[in-house]
Amino acid sequence: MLDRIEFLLSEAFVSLGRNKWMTFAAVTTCAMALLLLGGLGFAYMKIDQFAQSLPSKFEISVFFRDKVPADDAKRVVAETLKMQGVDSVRFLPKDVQWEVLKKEQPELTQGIPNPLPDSMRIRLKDLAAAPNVAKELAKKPEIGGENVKYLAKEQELLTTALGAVRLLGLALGGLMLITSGVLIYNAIRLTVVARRREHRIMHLVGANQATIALPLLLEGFVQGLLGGLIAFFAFWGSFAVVRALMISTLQVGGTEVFPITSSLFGFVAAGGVYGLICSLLAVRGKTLKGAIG
Amino acid sequence: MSMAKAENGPPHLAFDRVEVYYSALVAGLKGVSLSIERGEFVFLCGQTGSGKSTLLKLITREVRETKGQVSLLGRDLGQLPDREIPYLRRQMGIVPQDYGLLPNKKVWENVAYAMRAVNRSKREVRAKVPQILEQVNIMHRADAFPYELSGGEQQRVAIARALINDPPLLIADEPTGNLDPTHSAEIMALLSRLNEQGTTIIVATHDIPIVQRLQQRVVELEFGTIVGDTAAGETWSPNISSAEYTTFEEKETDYQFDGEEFEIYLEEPSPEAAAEETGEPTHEEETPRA
Ligand SMILES: Nc1ncnc2c1ncn2[C@@H]1O[C@H](COP(=O)(O)OP(=O)(O)OP(=O)(O)O)[C@@H](O)[C@H]1O
Ligand SMILES: [Mg+2]
Repeated sequence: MLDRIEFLLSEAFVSLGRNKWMTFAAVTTCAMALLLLGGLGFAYMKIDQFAQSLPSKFEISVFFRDKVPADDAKRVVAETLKMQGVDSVRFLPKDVQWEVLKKEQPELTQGIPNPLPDSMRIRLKDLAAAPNVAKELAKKPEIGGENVKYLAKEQELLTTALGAVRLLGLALGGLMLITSGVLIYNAIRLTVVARRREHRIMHLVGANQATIALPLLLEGFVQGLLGGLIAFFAFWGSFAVVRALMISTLQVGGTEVFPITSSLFGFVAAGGVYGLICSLLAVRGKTLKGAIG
Repeated sequence: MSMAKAENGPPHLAFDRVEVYYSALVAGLKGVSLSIERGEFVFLCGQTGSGKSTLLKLITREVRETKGQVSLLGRDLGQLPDREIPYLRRQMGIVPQDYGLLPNKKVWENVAYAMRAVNRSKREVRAKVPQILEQVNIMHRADAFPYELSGGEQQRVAIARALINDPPLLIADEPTGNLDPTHSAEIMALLSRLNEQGTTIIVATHDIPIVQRLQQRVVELEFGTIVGDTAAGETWSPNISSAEYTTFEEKETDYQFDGEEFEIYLEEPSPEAAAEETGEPTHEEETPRA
């Protein structure tokens, strides 16, 4: 048994060695495809997670004009609560905020009168309602357009960025995947041609179909596997770089842990299975009928 | 020894009104009935295109009969499922006309590789390869590459490889096709010796002098039918004029790959090999070893 495995392996590795450049091209494109699909997929997932977490944080801040009577302010709060898409409204009187600030930064606030306006924080149930709510509030004489702040622009940008990442990843990754598939397929076909003498001898002396086909499948499998392995290390590297960038420029993401086991397994398994599929397609029907005479 | 075996059980090979049509118009065989006993030595003779190779390919199941029945030791080969073919071929040794040696492997590696391909362990290979090489008298060239060998030596390596499964049946298509008379005689002596040890031997050939000298059974084919069957020990002379046997060009029988053209990938034979094949001087005497 072990002897047989050794023979099949040596047959496969002879071919991998023979088609060095072909193997190299197949492996690297396969790695790039996996990196693009896997790495960008991972990035997309992370950004999406971040976006998902935004709506709960997502608030509209509204500042009242100076000298709005407390009763009027309370009326506006009540009206806001009734607007479509509004989840909750918190009224923040300027005196209360000033007290908080004075406690936090005693030196800065010492000896000056309270410059803060009354304000309120609106939490939305539905992000899509934000523009409408903002427009309604801006119309109110107690508030005014410039005093309504919300993150619509940022939100939009994020959505666009996500779409672009997904599109880019899928398009580029798909292209690479097809290319690497063709390369693996070609490498196997070249092997079939290069080893037709050996295959003929195998048919001649009564070797099993498996003895002829398995080294070929193994060759494609190993190419995919190597591609997956390289993709994994490249992914690990780019993960570290992106994390360092995010920490230094945005002060976020420091807690992200690289998922070693799952990404290693994911990349290698995806590569191996893909290589196997490509070689299966290349071998199908080819070695099965060999003239011997 | 060989004849005693023939007394019991079905014949080694039986052809019963076998027809092979490659297409509606191209016939390989047109109704051949033939029985070959275990331990027999049979020459298949006939002009080019008479159906000799077709008959051999029926035995190796490269070709399936269109009509009739081919059986090996009573077993209908036409009914054999494709996945059984490897096991069928382990019951016979096949010597292809072009030797089919792997050019980048040494003599012993050629035999060893074939053994490894049929799941023999390295240990078995170590034990058996020298034994087989001795048997065909090529042990002294075990470390040579095929291109370093004469045609006759290459043929012996091809026979050695055919012996790895200890086959009770040996099939050779034109084993002396590319050899000079001296080397032809050597190969025939080797085949005769194997036959004396009990192996059934079937040889397709054009080599009339060799056939006449060996005085074995001769089955003569013409246009896909049997036109003569001369028993061993009787003197055979061809039904057709001997000129027709010899005045033809050997046709190229390189490996066909599913009909696809891979010619551009074929390696050129090394100049040494080409030179050796076109008749190297030999100092050996024609000494068929018995
Ligand atoms: N694969 C094939 N497809 C179509 N026709 C074939 C095929 N193989 C053989 N034939 C035809 O069948 C007939 C018998 O051919 P076969 O090869 O058996 O003759 P042969 O006696 O071996 O000839 P040779 O002495 O030249 O080797 C010929 O007419 C040949 O053209
Ligand atoms: Mg022929």
